[in-house]
Amino acid sequence: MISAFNEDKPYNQFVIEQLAGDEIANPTMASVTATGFHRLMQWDDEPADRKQHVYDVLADNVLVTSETFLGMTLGCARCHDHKADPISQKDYYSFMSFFHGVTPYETPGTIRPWAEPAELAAFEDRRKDRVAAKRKEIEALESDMIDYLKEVGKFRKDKAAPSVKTYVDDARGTPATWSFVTSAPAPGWKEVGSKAFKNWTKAQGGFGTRGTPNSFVTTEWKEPEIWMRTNFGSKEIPESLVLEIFHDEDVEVYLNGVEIFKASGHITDYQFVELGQSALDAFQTGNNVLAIHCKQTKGGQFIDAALRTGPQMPGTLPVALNRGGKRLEGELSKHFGREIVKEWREAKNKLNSIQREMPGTPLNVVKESGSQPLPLQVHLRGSAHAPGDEVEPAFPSVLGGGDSPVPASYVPVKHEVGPATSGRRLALAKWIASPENPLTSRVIMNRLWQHHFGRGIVPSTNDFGQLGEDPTHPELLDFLSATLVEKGWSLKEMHRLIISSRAYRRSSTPDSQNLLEDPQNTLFWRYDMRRLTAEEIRDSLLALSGNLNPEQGGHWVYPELPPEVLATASRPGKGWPISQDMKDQNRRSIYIHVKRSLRFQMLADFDQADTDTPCAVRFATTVPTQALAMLNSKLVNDQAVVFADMLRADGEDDLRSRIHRGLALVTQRKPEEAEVEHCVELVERLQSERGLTEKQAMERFALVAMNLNEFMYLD
Amino acid sequence: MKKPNQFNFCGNVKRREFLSTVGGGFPALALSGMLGSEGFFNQANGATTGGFRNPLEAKPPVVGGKAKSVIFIFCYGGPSHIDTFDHKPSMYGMDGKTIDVKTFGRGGKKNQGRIVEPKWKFKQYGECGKYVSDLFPNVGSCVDDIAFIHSMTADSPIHGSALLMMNCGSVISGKPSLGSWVNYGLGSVNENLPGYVVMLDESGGPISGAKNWTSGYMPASYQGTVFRSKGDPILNLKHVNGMPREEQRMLIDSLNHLNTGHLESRFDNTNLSARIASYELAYKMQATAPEAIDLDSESEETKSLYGIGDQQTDSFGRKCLLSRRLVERGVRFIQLYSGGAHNDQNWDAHGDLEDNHNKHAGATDKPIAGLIKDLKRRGMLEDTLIVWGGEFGRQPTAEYAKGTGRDHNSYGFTMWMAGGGIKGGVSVGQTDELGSAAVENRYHVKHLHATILDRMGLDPNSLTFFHGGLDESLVGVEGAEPIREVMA
Repeated sequence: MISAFNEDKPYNQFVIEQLAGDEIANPTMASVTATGFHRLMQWDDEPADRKQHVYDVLADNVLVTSETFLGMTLGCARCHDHKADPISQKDYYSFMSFFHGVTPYETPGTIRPWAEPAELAAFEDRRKDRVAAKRKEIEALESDMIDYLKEVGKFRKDKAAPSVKTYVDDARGTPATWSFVTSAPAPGWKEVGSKAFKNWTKAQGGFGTRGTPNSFVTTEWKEPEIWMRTNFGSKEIPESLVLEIFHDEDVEVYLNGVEIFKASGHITDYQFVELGQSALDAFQTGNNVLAIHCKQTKGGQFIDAALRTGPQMPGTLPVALNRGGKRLEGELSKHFGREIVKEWREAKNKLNSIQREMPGTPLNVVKESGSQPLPLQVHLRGSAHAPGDEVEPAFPSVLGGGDSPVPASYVPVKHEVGPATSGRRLALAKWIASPENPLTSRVIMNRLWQHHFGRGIVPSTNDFGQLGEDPTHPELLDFLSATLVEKGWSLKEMHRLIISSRAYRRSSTPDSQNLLEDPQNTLFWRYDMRRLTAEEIRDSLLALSGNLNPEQGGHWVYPELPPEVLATASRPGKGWPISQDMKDQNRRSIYIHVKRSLRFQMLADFDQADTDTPCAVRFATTVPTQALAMLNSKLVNDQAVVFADMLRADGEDDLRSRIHRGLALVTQRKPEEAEVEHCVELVERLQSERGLTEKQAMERFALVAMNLNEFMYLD
Repeated sequence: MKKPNQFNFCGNVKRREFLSTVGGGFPALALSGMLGSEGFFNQANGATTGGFRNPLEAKPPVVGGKAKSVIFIFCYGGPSHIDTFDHKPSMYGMDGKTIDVKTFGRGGKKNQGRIVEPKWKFKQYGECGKYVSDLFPNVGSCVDDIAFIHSMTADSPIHGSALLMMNCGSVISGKPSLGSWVNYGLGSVNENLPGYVVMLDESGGPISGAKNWTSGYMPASYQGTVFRSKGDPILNLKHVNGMPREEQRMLIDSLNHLNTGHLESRFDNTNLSARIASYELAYKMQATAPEAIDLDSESEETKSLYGIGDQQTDSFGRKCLLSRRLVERGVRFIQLYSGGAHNDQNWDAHGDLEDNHNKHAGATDKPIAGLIKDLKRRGMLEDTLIVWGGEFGRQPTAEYAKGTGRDHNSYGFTMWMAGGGIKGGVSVGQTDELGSAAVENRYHVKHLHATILDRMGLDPNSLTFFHGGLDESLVGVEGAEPIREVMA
């Protein structure tokens, strides 16, 4: 965000990247990073009602997107038609369906490494060589081991080691129960939420005709095709996945609707397949569906599969050796010696880590569940368990959408990494970012105005609807929004225009006549004084003392929090690893980590926005606890000491000049003689009456200066 | 009687005025009004425009409330109702029996389970003859002042969302907490103490920490202030390196002098004068708050009534006595946490039920009873509403194959209320014979919230705050009626 604004990225492009930076042509690291926008929504790590929670998250997408970019309170129409604005509940769910494929925070695949294509290709080339070399090394060690294990008859019969978790077992063990049909089912049969399989037959795995060599037939299957699915639950995402499959001619295997394995031509024994990242991406916590479609044309037939976590030491060995885990290791150590086994294990660990290395930078980004999101219905009274009419993606009727067919305007988008997405977000983003959209340019220009003047031309910046406020200067807003589009959506141009206006340069000085006629300053006859925001207060304090670290970008920081605040967490001290480098502690407030359940107290006290809902206009409260923080806290007093030392160390060595300089720095003007005189007296009295040293007395002066209204308020 | 919508800023003032003032800080305006009553800056108060009522200033109740303050004793983790106040005589002798019963907890939904019979005996107490388990003999002696609601239900049996539900009325975060609503509706009568105080367990906060006392979309001035019963009660109450009061006075005088000069040419700006005055309030708070937590002035008899001095009850006893002192000083809403952090540090008895509940009931029984008795003998109980309960109850069956641990239960659980405007000696609603679900006069958390607001003299269905295009309320858009059977 910061670099986008610094580079003056055109606002229309900014909007598109926030919503669909992954779906645009030639996505960049910045545009894909921008889709982290979708990762900021509501999140409950253990919801009581999983289905409803999925829609609570999506509801946040709708609310945030509509209020932020369109100044529309669409969120109100989740349970019923909007009470004040012409927005129907159908409009709401049509809008939600643009996001319907988006997976929630912390689902697999949302942390994605980013590397430029050339970098990626070079990395994968190197990896291929490294893997091959390591495999060779391992194979050399293993061939003797396999021979030995066969000799002692321990090669095949070992059961899974405890470190291997079986999600779906095959017929060699305790076969899973599958639902199956032998004639083509409705599309979507392999998806998690599908109900298509409700009437299918249930039977235990190991489908085929008896007598098929090496097979373990449990349930007879004679037809040319079979579609089968089974469910399993998991509380966590495994680090690796293995498919063990014995299949006939053509087979496709899907996990939660995503294809994870495909082969043609039959095989004659169980095959051990290490599944890659795409399978791990498809895996989810909670309910999962493993689905298989298999064909055969002649001869014996058999299909069976197991899904497990990968063995602790993946490598090239057949599964039995791997699965033997520690017990087999002991056996092998006795025979071959500890050193050899250790070497073998280390080589396998190394191979594992090579295979897991991620190229580039990890990004927390949007992900969709596939190119074709499931159908979405209106939720009666907002309940995901009470579906009404099905909806298609559509823009709100009041803005010319409604029944107009949006589907024609989007196509699924394929990506270099991860599954395809629906293209819906891009369609929505382009519509929002279009110069024809009557709201987008007005809403952003109104925000710019608000941040310069303290109040928007439409004072309710997130709500341009009936319950919002009328613009005080509608023609001005029209002009600004038209100019923005004319200037290629350059926000910097617009800042320049506003800042160089006469309106902006007015003083805050009161005028009796104007106060009488327009006490609220509705007409902007003067500049409304404003208190610094929470972040500005902290940054200004650091700037005064010269401690502010103006560095841009990089990782967020954890400045010191008082132990009393850390003690309010359910795991006191956890989740706030205080940055060790003082330079990090002194970074601008915008780089302070925002943890929703543990706020940075000083910022929260000075009305930093709530972390859960969009905040159009911040409050600016004045309460005694703020005065306590400004007078007594470590944060402020630390800066007062540094500021005082700076005044004492540099330049003038007489008290009066130091005070003069201190006041000038705090107020950014030439101090009055009387003010200087007053502060000199304070410092002298603190020494004579309170017995403070000169250094201590200067620190007190610095503290007073930092508490001045003139420091906290902008004229 | 005032119009119910007096608490809706937007019902009283044009939205334009509301929003235009928000940027400049209406609580600041409000504060200057409040200071007017203290004798500071009456002129500044006179300059206040816009017709605002002061959100921090004490406001009269709307519906003739009986209570002036709330003490909410939050048994975090979920106390087992069938082992405390919901007597299930038919369960004795059924231990270990497998039965069909629908349950839903952290272990998911189950249709069958092994009964863990109540692990404590129940006795009858008081004139009403209420059965209370041996976990709470002292509270038992107060039952004639207590109304039990045995048919509570909540939306979630999982701590995080259930805590938010009980504190903020919704499983989704971002909503203001009950204490914020009470202060928004009624203001605080003490300018020198926060109007909304939260006291946590020594082991840590509840899951989601500050979200449980957040002011959500309301101004930060309504958020709960964490109060400690030992040391400095409030963050930043003392100078980080210590500073004598006289020295601080010199600094504030100096600050006032300079700020007054600054104000001269900005005479109409009430924010500036409010900020000047806030330093005087802070100065006074530094004296008032330590005085409030200083229990030395209490008699030994009073202290022992709360179990202070006894290792098991000392910590919670101090918090209960401190609560009474805060109520005396006009604090509107006090929340006391019994239990913190995770697992057996709170009432979350998944492992050894007896061990867990003996520990937490043992630490709180006497202090809670002491609080009720002390308030009563001082004539304060009728003005003080005490609420007891957790975010949910516990299941009648075992969570695991072995042991006595019970999983969470939001299908039915018990909460109780006492004091301000509450009928004593009554029990409302019932769970089934196992306590697995509420079956008679079922009540939801929002009914409990409605009752609390009502007893405080606020109309739960009219107390709204305009946010994001909606008139939001604690009890939700569909509203909720208070539980009339418990109301005196």
